[in-house]
Amino acid sequence: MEIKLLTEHYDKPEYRSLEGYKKHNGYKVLAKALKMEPKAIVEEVKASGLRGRGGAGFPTGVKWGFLPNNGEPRYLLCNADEGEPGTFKDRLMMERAPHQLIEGMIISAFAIGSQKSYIYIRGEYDDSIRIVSQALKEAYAEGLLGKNILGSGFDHDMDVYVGAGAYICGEETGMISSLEGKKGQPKLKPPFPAVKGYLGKPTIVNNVETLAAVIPIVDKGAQAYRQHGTEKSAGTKLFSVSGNVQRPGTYEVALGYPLMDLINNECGGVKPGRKLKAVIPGGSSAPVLTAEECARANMDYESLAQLGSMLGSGAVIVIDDSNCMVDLLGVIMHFYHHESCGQCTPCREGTGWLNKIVHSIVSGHGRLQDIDLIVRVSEHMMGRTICALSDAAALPAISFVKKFREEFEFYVREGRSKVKGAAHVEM
Amino acid sequence: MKNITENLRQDLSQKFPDNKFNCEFVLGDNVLHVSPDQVVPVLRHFKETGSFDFLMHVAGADYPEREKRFDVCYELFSSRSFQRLRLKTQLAEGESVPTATTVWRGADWFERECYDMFGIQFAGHPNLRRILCHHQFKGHALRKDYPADLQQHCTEALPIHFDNDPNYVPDPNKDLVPLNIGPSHPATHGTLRIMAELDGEKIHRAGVEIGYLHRCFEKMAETHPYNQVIPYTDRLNYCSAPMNNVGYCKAVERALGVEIPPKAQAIRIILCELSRIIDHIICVGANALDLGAMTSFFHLFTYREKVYTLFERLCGARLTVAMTRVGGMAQDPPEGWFDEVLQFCKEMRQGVDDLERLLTNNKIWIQRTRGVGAISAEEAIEWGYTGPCLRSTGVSLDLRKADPYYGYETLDFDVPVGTSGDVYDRYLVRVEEMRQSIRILEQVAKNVPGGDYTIRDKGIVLPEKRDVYGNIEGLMNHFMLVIKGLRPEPGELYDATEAANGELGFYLVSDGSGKPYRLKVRPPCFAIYQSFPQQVTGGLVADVIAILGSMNLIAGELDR
Amino acid sequence: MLKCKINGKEVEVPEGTSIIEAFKLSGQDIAHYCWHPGLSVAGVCRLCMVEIEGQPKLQIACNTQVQDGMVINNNSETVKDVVRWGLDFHLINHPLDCPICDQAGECGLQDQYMQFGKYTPEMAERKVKKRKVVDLGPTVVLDTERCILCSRCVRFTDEVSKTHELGIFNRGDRSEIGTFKDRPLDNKYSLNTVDICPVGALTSKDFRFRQRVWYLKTAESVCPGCSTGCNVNVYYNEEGLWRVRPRYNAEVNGHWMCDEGRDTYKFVNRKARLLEARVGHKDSWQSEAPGSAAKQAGVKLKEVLESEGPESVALVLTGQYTTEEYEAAIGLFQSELNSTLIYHWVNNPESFEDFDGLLLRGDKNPNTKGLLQALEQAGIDRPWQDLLDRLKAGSIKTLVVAGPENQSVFPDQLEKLEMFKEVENLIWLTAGPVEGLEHRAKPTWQIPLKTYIEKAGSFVNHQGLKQSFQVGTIVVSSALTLAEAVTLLAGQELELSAQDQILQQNRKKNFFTETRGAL
Repeated sequence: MEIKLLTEHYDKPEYRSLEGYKKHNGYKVLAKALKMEPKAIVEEVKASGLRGRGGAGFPTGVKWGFLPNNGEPRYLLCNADEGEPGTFKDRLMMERAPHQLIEGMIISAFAIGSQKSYIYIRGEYDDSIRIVSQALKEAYAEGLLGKNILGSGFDHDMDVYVGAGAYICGEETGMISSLEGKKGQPKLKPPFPAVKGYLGKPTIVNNVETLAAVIPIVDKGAQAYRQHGTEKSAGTKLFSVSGNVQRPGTYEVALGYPLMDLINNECGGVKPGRKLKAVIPGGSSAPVLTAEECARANMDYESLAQLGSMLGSGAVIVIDDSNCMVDLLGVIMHFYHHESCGQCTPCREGTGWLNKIVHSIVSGHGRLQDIDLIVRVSEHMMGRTICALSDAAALPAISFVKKFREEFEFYVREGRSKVKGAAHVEM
Repeated sequence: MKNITENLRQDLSQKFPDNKFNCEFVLGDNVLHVSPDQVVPVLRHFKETGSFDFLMHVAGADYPEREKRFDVCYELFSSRSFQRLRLKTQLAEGESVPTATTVWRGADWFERECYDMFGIQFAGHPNLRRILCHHQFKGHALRKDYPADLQQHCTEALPIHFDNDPNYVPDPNKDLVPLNIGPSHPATHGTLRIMAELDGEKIHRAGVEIGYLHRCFEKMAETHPYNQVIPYTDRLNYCSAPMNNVGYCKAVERALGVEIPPKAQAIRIILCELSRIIDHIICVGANALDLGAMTSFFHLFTYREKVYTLFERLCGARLTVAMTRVGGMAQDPPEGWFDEVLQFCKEMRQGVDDLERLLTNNKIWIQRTRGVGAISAEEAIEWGYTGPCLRSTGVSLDLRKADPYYGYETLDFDVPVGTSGDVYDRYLVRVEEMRQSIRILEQVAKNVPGGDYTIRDKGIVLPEKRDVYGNIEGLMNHFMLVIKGLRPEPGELYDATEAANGELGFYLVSDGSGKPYRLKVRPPCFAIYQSFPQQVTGGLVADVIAILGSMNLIAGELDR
Repeated sequence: MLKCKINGKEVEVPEGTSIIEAFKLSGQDIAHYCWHPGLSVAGVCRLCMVEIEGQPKLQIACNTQVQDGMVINNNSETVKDVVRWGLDFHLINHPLDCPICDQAGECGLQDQYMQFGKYTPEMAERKVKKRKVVDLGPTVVLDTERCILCSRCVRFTDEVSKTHELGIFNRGDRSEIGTFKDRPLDNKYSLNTVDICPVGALTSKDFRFRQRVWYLKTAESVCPGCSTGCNVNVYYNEEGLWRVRPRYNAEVNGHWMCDEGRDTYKFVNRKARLLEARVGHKDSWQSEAPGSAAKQAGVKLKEVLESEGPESVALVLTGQYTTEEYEAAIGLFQSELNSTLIYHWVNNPESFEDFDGLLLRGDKNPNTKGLLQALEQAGIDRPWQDLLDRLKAGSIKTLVVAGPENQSVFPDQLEKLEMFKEVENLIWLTAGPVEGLEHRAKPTWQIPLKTYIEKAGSFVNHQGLKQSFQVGTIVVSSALTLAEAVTLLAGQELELSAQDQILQQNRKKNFFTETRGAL
């Protein structure tokens, strides 16, 4: 059952204009927030248990608390890069409700005392860029941005920054590098962005959905927000469901919602005549779940972590039995190989190596030891790099091989897929 | 080697209660450090109490950064307990140590060599002159500051001289004829110079001069990486080249702390025994040839050819083979090689029998060799005899039984022993040893273990060629091993094998770099030959040739 | 000072030290490629992993600061496994170039592979192919396949030479080092990138394919290119000198040196040298051994001195010799020849004080200060004009000139020769042949001298810092040092060393004697 905390009015085309937004409670919460103490907002967000909706799931209020009190100017960066394969929820928000994002950002900026923020939108999202830029113009014209917002004495400037097609710029320090005009390569942590981020100043990087979720928290309070979701995973989340389902799309449900309910009720289940084979629950970086594991999965951070996977960005990719897992892994490995920034050696070389191995198997030249080699290479890529792209490439590889080993072995032995008629993508 | 440092300490503290001796057990060797004035008393104590009866060699080493730059090492061996002990002392330049010739006569030439190579003074030595380098040589060759490529040429030969009196002039009142036998003489195998003063046909006085084939192998070892020293070892006893390879590689492998695989050990035993056979062929054949028995020489050499063919099948070379590498063998033997070895054994049995038929009961042979050059067991041990010459005197000492290696302890063979130590007994011992070697060969060649022919430690052994050309790891490994070399930990050791002529020992000092810091060879015939003047004095000049031949002097080993 | 334990060994380090620096201080080995003490931290090679007690995850040593009481190790099985695989990742796309790569013998991959490597290769796929011989600029060639993308060269051009010519293009395993359009790698410090490149990706156009490094020995010396006096290592073997590389000195040059200084080995090699003394004048030159030529010249000098008096002989010095040589030469001139006519030849007074902010200075002599100090000690201070006046007046009959060994920085040699044209006797001491002298019509002695590599001595740099060095190798053994030449000119004898005596005797006794070692 959908709980439309954020997405209530997304079906109304007027919602994307300032007028239309204002008709539905738009910018009222901002007015309320500007009268509160910034510290109180931070406490409220902390109490709500809101966790980063971009993939890492880090408690937002705690992250805001890391900012040092050293008088340096602070920056708020909105991560609208949405590079994780399978995720398209932020795009929905930016195209249908840009002002929701802007309002959430101004409130957050006020809470952390930031005078300048950027919305980093990936270059491929032409429509989002256009619509958000238009919305910003409207906001400025209305006095919602710029000097002395709504007469509160709070100044804030917000800009759109367009990415140029790199998944790595979705990593927070990669995004910061890109914003600084450099090559989008992640930086060494420590120092963390909250202490030394954009231009060396304290910076908070949050996902689009996280920033928008600040609105209902400030509006109705942390406890109201906690009514939805579970103890540790509070609130609602937008899930982008794609793949072999009848009704793919973005659905907002409470965290903790059973996965199979999401697939069968909201999305209409798999196509007739087909069986569910596997589900990737949190974007391609999350380990895959078998159909049996799916039956026990609830869409929250803890339940999926217990099953050895992760909630991630909430992109659910449903796979039925017409797909070959080896080919699918090839597509995923190709993606990571293409997107690795190339700074650290394990990731740079490892993603290439994994890609080559899987494609050897797919083209019929695999050896039996390659299957174990995939797992060993992946294990040695994890935890040793500057950013988590290496882990993101390694986790699916390990899970695919471990859970669908017979398909790999069949492919190596026979030189073709076990699944008859599987779509074979040439890379 | 067992750790006997405790026993030594107790023993010495009783005899020398005031002195503190530093005794340690390093890399499997027992080492005793003494000061120069304690050397002779301690040596005498060991000899008289019978703890150690052999002085194998006296070696020197140069450590120029130290204040006391010279090390003098005395290698002791006990034929009863089969234990070894190294006695070490340190000397500064200009200091001297009393000579050990008062305790063991066999220290004579070894000390002369130390003096020649390092300039170490041995006080009281009867004849402290250069022995290997020529008399016009200036400087001391094995010192670290002597450049390895500085040749010095000798422009005139020394006239006949005896002992350390080079200004010999024949006494006009006596009817004695000075005679040079050699160095260019058909019966002096290799260039050996014997200087005799003849009273008619009898030798009144004799002296020897060696060093004609001195190429300073030990200096070459210091300037080459470990594996590149192996071809130089071939040229020590070139009549049985694989044995030198094996002896050297065994020492280096002990320094590295590695054990070679069983297959490599078996192949090395086969090579050693084949080499022993061909070495004895040369000795007996040449000895007989010198005395006029030509048939045996030519007949036996056909068997030598067969062994050459075996060697060639294994590594491509016949005489100087460089067949071993540190860590194992250079390559796997080809298909059917072991069967060829067995075939050779069958033929060789026939050959030995032929030889016996020619010589053993031959009247002329017996007359020429029986009773000639006899030496008692005590004297032989004094001089440091090892090998067939020692065993012909009745002492049953063979390192293959006393301190077995490579699995000799599992093999079934006997050690032939003579009675009187004369030339005839030496001949008999050698012939019987050939038979025993054939026995060993058959046992091993029938049961060669499977497995690798070398260890695969990448820091020691070069990778296979398909890896060198096929992947980056093999290529880099090859480069690094060739450029930097294999490097044993710093340390020193003495390792010996039973070569055809006796105990072939290598005293190896490693400083952790890719080249040996010091490699001293203990050549078996060096110790034997120093007794030669005594052996021939009083005998007939014809017997000189017989005795010379029976000692099996190979100049490559004698002079290095 | 903080205390920490590295692999069980106690180490004390100052505040702000990173773990990798602490490793170096304690003399222990740690695998690394991208860290360099003279550059900022990149942390991209991921090899310097260490285990810190109390922290679950392995950390990189270059970016982690030492805390008091830290217990660090890099020899546990976990760390060793991580390093092995880390090296393996570096190698999977590395081309099999060792036989044609200049870096073999001093290659970071080779050395660290033997120490930390996995040994068993597992990569069975095709390696990534990239551009192989890329001309980066006038001095450096790039091979992108060999590059391990440690980014040291990029950081160097950003932070040290500040010319920003290099960057990393593309991403992932297609990354390549490269230059921007129309901006080649062309700065005066470009060859330092070749030094810091741990593999053979960047190679020097001057050195590539000429010699294998394991045939080279090293000698420590001081660069004679200018008055900075960068500390250098000179690489040589029997055939001559092959290259010059910087040596770390915190006070003088840090980790770097300029490209000009790297050419200073060229004037030392035999083919650039005067091998025998040339005595005579135009159209009637004779070759002599340097010692005997110097003796002859000394005889002539004494003659002229006796007839014309002490004001007839003068000495011209360039700032290219060692302090000890100056003291000996000036001393002998004063005591034996009773002359104080000693002059300092400055070739470029206008650009003398130039400094480019990093290392290059306008004074292209290594020991100007040393010469000035020696002259001051001797109480001699004569301006150049004094010499010109006396030459014009014709009072100087014999002129001894200690010419520059680095002739490329003295473009005014011919000009000076013109000035000296009228002098009756010219004794020119030089390391290499001087063109202009061949045409002199009056009696001339060209006597070969030894260069800075063949001498032991000291240079005083622009700051007044005295730097001493020993003999590196002898290239022309018959050449003399300045002190020896002046000794012979003053009529005294030279002493031979013991080794030389043996060699001399051997040469006399036996013409079959061969010796090697002297070039």
